Amino acid sequence: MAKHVIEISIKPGGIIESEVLGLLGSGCEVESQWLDQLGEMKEHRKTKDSEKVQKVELVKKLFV
Amino acid sequence: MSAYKLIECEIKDRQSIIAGLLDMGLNLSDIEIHDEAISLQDFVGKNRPQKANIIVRRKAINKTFSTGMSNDVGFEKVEGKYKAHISDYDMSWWKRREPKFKQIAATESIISAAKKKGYHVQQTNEDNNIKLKLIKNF
Repeated sequence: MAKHVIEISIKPGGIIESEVLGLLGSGCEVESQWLDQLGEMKEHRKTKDSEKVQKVELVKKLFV
Repeated sequence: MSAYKLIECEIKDRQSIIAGLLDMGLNLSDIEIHDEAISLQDFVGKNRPQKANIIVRRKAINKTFSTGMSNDVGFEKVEGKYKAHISDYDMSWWKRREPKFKQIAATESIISAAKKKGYHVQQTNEDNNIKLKLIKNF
């Protein structure tokens, strides 16, 4: 069974930092969209695994 | 990991406000809830122009925070978000407590939303930060 984890740190003042673990690429975006409804987005960046999926897709395209 | 987000929480539900107020030391019986916003009162009981849906009356503020001549404190729901009405007199004690209030309210908002989404929630406190681990199995 696959496990999906979101780690969140809530600072005084209500600032929320979150990291989504265990999902790659667009699946991560979809599964964490509800966090965006909690307030005003100050920063949003993709990290290593997301880039990895994009590279795999690019390799696939090159060899099709 | 595959995404990182930094969000400034907006308080949109009454339960989060109540959680923040209880954490400040107020009792549930100190908190009035009104579906229709009603007038706040000043330190002598005269209506102020501000209205609110969630109100802590001045007597509870004076008793809990030993402030002496407080006005009512209220939270008005405007366009889906709560806005705090705090008098100038009460602003200094409020400012000291506001960061923790917002932290507790944000935590309540996240836990409530996460449970609706089917996450199992683990909470720990680390230094001044509240850590949540939201876990979902597929």
